[in-house]
Amino acid sequence: MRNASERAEAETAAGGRAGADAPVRARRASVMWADGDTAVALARVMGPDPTGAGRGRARRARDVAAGGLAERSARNAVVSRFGPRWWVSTSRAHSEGRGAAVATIRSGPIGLDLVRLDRADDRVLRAIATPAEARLLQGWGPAAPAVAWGAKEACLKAFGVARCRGVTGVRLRRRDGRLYASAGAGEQVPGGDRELRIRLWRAGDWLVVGAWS
Amino acid sequence: MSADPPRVSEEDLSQDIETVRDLVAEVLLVDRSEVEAGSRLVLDLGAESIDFLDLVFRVEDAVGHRVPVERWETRVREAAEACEGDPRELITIRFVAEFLHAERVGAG
Repeated sequence: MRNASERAEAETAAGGRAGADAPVRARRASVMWADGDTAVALARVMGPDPTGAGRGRARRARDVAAGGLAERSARNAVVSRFGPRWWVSTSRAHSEGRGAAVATIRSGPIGLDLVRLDRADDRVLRAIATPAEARLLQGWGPAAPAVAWGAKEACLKAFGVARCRGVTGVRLRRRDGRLYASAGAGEQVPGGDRELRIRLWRAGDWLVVGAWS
Repeated sequence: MSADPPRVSEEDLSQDIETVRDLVAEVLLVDRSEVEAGSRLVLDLGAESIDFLDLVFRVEDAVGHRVPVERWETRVREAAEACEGDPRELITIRFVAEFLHAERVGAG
């Protein structure tokens, strides 16, 4: 875990623009976690929520910009440590002006998701998790639906969303107190039966969920 | 092998398109006037992955019976495979309306 002085990867650009119709007041990014060959960063693009015609596109542009900002921050953290000669894999997510990304020089599938804790409720949990999975997530209390959603999404991203059956095809298991996810075996997902360890970070009302070996 | 989606006449679909326009405007907090049959939920309206779960729940409420998320996932995957397309491009209001229609008439 990095200390505060090492978390200096921050960027503020007042008055910039995330997209054609998305006024931006400030952008910030910081590395929230780093461990050897891997770094996770969070970013935020702040500004008024787009209104009027085209607000959907403007919101998406703002969110994509936040994801890109987080990705650059995470990538820079890894490159600054290992140099530019390594191949850096990344995965990123965005929502509501926030972005999160993981960067690593390790090989293998890697995925990340970002979910607001109150966005997923018990109905979500019932829809995407088996009863056995719901039981093994009980320890997370009211955050269990967000954990289930984020873990399954992160796993899907790691193996390639287009090749997987969807969140309902992802299986969660708990072993030695740790949560694992697999996309399931099948010709669509080579190696999809491989279990990825799920990592969770809480950032205010948000949950960042990572999936890698 | 998967079955082709049922063919739906424009007349049959028009009411479902109107219903889906309402649902999507509520879920994505966008003006209904911006939501057209050809609007792409992700690229034009800013939908995120969890929004689709919300939409499935709304479809479930609209048709009055449980709609397994797997059915939505299967529909999206099969459509993407059929046209080798990007799901973000193909999930339009019309696409969701066809899903709603299939659920409503019991062909889901």
